Amino acid sequence: MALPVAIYLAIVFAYPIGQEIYLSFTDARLLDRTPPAWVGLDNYRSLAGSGKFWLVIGNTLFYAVVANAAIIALALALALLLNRAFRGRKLARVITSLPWAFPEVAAVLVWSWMYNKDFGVMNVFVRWLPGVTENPSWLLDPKMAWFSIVLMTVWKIFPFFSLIILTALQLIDKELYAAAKIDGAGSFQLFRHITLPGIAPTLGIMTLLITIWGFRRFSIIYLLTGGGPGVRTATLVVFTYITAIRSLNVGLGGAMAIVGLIMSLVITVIYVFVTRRLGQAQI
Amino acid sequence: MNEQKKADERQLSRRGFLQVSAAGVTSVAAGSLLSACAPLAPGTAPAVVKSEPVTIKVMSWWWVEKGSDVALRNLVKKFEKAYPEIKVEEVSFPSNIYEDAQYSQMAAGKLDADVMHTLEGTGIKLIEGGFLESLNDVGKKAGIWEYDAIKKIPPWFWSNRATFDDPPDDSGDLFVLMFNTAQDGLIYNMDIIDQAGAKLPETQDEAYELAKSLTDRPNQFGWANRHTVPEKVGFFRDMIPWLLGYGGVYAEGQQPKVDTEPMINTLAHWRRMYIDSFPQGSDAATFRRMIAEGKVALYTDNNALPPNFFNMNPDSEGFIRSAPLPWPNRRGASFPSYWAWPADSPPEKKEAARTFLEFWATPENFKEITWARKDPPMIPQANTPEYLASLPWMSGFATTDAVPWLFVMGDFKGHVEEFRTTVVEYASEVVVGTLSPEEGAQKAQKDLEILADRLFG
Amino acid sequence: MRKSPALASQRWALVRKRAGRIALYVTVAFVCVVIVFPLYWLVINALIPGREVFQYPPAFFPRTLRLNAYQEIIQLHPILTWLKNSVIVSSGTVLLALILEIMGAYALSRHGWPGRGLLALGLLSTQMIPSAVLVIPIFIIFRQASLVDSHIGLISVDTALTVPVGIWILKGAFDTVPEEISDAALADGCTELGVLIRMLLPLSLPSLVAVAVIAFFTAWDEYVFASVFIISQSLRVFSVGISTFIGEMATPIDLIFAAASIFVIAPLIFYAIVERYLISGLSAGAVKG
Repeated sequence: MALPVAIYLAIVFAYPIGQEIYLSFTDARLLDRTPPAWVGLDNYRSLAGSGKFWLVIGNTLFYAVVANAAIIALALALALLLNRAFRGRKLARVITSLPWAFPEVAAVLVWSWMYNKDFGVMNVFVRWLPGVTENPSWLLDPKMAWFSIVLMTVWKIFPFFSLIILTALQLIDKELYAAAKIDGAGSFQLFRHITLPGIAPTLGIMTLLITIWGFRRFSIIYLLTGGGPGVRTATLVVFTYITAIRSLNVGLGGAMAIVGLIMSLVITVIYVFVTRRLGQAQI
Repeated sequence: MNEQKKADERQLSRRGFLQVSAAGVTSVAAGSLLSACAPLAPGTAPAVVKSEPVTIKVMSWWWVEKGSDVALRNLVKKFEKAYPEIKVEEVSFPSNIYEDAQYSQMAAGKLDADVMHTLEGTGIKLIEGGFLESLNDVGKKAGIWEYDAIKKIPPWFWSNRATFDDPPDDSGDLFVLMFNTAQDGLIYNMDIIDQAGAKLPETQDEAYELAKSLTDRPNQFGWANRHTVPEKVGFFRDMIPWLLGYGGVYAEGQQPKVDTEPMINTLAHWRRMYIDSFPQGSDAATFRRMIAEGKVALYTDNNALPPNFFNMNPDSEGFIRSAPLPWPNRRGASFPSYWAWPADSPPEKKEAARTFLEFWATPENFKEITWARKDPPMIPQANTPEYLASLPWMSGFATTDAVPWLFVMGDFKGHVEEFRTTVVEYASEVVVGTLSPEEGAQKAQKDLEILADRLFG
Repeated sequence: MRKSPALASQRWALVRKRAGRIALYVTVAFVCVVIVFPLYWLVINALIPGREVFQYPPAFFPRTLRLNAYQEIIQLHPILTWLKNSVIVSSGTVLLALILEIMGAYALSRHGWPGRGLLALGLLSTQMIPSAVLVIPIFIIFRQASLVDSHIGLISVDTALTVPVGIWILKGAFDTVPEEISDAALADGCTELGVLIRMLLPLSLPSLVAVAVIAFFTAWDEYVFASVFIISQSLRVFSVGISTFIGEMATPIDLIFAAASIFVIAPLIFYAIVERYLISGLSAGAVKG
């Protein structure tokens, strides 16, 4: 039964990935008529020797850690909130799915406008804070730009994950809570010993997925800052795109894509290892 | 080569051709004479005989470009009426992904068009890849050779012209037909300048001082040009007239020239304008709206822009004007667009596509589309005093000493993207102040020399 | 003041409960406002006249609103065609993806065969390749298979993008159904297909809905492939259609904002329909592993 699926995915993914691996050892340039020449590890060597590349790797890890931590924390908090019984709960849940339904291109346009230094509404909010007397350079100052990217990412991604976590919460046997309460467990203990184990598998795989999706997330950064100023907000996928597609340098870009693939594989293997250890094997 | 003799030959062959075809068609309106005759030209089957209609795909970003879309569709309607045996199918990609779409199709080995619009950079890639067929014949039959405009098609689109100084020669291949051009000028808000009692700037420093004095954020901005990485293409493009004004180019032959004084001056100018005048971080979509709403005093751009401001805010027709570029040499860039012709469409489609291009190029139709788009007239027939009088904002652009923008790229013409990425990467750091203009220029130069090594060996 | 301590603590508990209630509503309201605000801002900016866009500070509740932008996109742009095409592509993706995901997840979850761990890992590795890198190779394959410029082609790609994650999620759900139950059913003469349809699928309903939602939204928002693979205007989907407003010379942001607000609606409706299955799908306990 797995065969048709495997064949299907092989056609769509295996060939491009295989080609990418091959190209990463060549000096191929998109639209070049001369066949690419084998250059061995040259592309990888030039990446390793490039300060820019390491800056981009650093950016990628920073973005993955900070944005994902914020997403998971907020998603969990919101899921716990939405799990309580209150009037208008259904409406709140539909509202929560909204950022996910928002087309990325349009979302970036409206956020760019909100981040506009002269007219953006974010200036109004930030100037309510004590000590802020000037409009920040939301997207042009490198540090601010990171803040702006992470903020928009979190807004776009966390609500949907909270809905998935909510699904898991709903599946926890209510009787467990009742029994524990009779035993005199406090709300933290309930969370620690019933809720958390109940949603742990979901949390685990979601964390893995948002980490991997975080690595390949493209439109938000590319459209908000283009990776700039310089390459100070470029992540690996943005840099790969600029190199392979925009600059037509598919050899070097291929090497970058492979580095990204390896990074993600390492994280997956760590995940598998950890979940096996915890006895929640998914593979 | 004897220029005069060549011209005579051309004249002669054209007249000869007219006599031959006139025998077939006697009662056709003068304007569409050539196009109507085209199918009867020797060696080609008359299209009228075909019973089933041929559909040709016309690829253009105009189909979805406000203003141009109506102009193009009206002409196509007229064409389909004149040639009921040919149907035109729209193939459209919006301008922001147009070149990407062309690249993907090139990479896949086939273009989804029988006729297409193309920009300069992609045009060069298309020729290098062998995707285009010579349009010389079509141009000749359509009478394009009679237009002065032919000389403006840059040498890199000819098989037998090496530099701008070489005269056009119809013995070789011409791979594109120019269908419109736009050139740089200084665009300004007449009301703001008049109210301030200011004089229009004539040097770069005057421009900076004036812009600074007219800036009152966020109510009014003295100047607005593109300066952010997401608008890489626009950023790189907007600096070109300034670079030319300071006497520089991005590259000369295989040698990048971005650490030279003109480039450093350009970067420094962008930095000071960013500090004192630009709406910081605003993209073109935003600041062009601001211009239309009368909130920006001055900026440099090409003549295709004003009609768009009038679309956004009809009142702006009253205050948007143009003036000569604010530097003594008046150098600026021109941005032509072209028709090109994929080499691999089947013969019957090619025949229909030829008919379409010839129809387009008749003086009457060329004029019609020029007027509909408010383009600067490229042919004498469109260049009437009434037309010019209806465009009070046009005069400044005409004073520019314009070169096709790829001229500033030297031998990097086919590698604009890569070059541009590097320049913008460092220019953006200069703008926000994390690098000085000199540092930015030197770092960019270093990266580009590595690129040159890789490209040219 | 002398009151019985029991009464005092009872009142205190009541106050605390009420305060907790208010805090809950305030928090929920705050979170909802934060989540909705960008959409609100989008709609407002599509409705206010051009001049007022450039006002600072901006008005949170502008007085003059006009519907010009909505009128223009509906009258002058094939926005209904885009909507229709997006619905076709997204629904098609959901259908095809569900079929493949169920097959894949079942095979991974119920059959012990060599290399399935590797396949599972391989599945996830597909998620790591950025779309931009995939576009050209896939375009070349699809062109040979005449799948370019067709909804079926786009559905196939969108499905491929979403299937790996879907399989993972569904496999997790199938895994929670104890193997003994399905083995018992098989021993009773049930076919594998019967076990799948009668037992696994109903028990995994929330996960099925979750993967359907992910598939729908993935296809709805996909831009990179849709922009290159669809050539005819009549087949164009919304995510690309919306970008046709981004012009060479001018970008009418109000039109884009107006179109975007329409674009958001369809997935919201879809989500609202499936929401109850997603959240309250089935009684707890039944799927506890």
